[in-house]
Amino acid sequence: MKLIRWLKGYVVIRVFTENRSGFLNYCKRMHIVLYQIREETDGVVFQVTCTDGERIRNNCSKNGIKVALLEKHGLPFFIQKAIQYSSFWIGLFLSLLLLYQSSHRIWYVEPFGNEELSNPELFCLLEHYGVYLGMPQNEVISKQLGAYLRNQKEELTWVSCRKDGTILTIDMKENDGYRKMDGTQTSELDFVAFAEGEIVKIITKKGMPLVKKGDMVQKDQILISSQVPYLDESGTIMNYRVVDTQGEIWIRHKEEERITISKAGNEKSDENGEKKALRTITQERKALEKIVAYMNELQKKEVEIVRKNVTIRRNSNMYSIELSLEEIEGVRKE
Amino acid sequence: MKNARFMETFGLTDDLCENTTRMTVCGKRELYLENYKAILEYSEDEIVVQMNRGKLGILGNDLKISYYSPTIMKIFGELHCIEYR
Repeated sequence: MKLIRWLKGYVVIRVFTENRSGFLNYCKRMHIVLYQIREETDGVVFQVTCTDGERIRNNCSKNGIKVALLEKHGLPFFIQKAIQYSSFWIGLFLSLLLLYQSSHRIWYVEPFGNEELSNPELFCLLEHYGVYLGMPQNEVISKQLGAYLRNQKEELTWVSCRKDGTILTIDMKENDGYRKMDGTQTSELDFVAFAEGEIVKIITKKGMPLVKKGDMVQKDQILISSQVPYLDESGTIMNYRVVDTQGEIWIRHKEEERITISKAGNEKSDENGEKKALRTITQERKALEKIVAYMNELQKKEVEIVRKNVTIRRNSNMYSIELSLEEIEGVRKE
Repeated sequence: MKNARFMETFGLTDDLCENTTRMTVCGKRELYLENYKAILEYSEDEIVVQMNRGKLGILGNDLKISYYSPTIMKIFGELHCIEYR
């Protein structure tokens, strides 16, 4: 109410009269609305609209009542005063210029028809192309933008871009037969478990981790998925983005190795005890060399051996060495 | 009397049918007055209003009329007493 009064403009008037109630009743009869009426010693002071103030002044002067205009308020009076100053005109010019400039820029991108391609992904593509909010409209070439989007996304069969005022509208048609992703398919980009065991450490640089420290995993189970979901505001999955997974995973697992060496040659019945013992030592050394070679191979990998157990069995015609290891092995993918 | 029966039947208030003065008081500092006829006296301590039937005296301190239109009046100030005369 106050704002409307200010926009229309109002004046503060003092009417010099002893009969205050009579004056107020006169205003009532004339359908004049008064605001902030205040009693003074020689009359009343009140606020009234400009047109009503003029009517009061005309009628009071006819009846010989003295009227004084005390103050002027509101937009009409403000403008009347402001046009005398150059700063008003400069400000007006600048605001019009700002309005003109703002109306020739893109302030909103409205995509239509995209189901597989999510809005964040589309905005990311637009950003790569150089389309950003607030960019001049003449810098956006619709045909080139459409061709760029089609080239970037094979699922898009048709793209049309047009400028509606400050809105860039992108109409799209997607190929219905395009493979739908639901986050369950495996691909070469996924990080899968190399052995069955317990996750000791997981560092994800790219991708969606599906397991956490302490989880038991099976061999070939997906640990870091290449399909990163896009969530909407309510937390439901809208779409998936495929990335090449990167990360580091350490798994505690058991490794068992059995090395068998058959006794070479037929034992001669006439072989004396010394020769027989020598041959046995040679074969055991061979077996140990094999174990050492295996352990060296493990050292080349990033393996920490937690527990090891070596059992050597001797049969009539072969040596069997069972190597049981509990190790923590790490694999890095970059 | 006919009006009274009609209003009673339909559950209507007096200000709708008989144009009686309607008064709304907000706390001790604001008073809205509707359907008044005229102002008889106006000073900072007392405002006397002519109603359709009788007079209404509003007594108080530093009384001001914030809004004054042909149908509604808003009185602002420290209200002490409202009396029918």
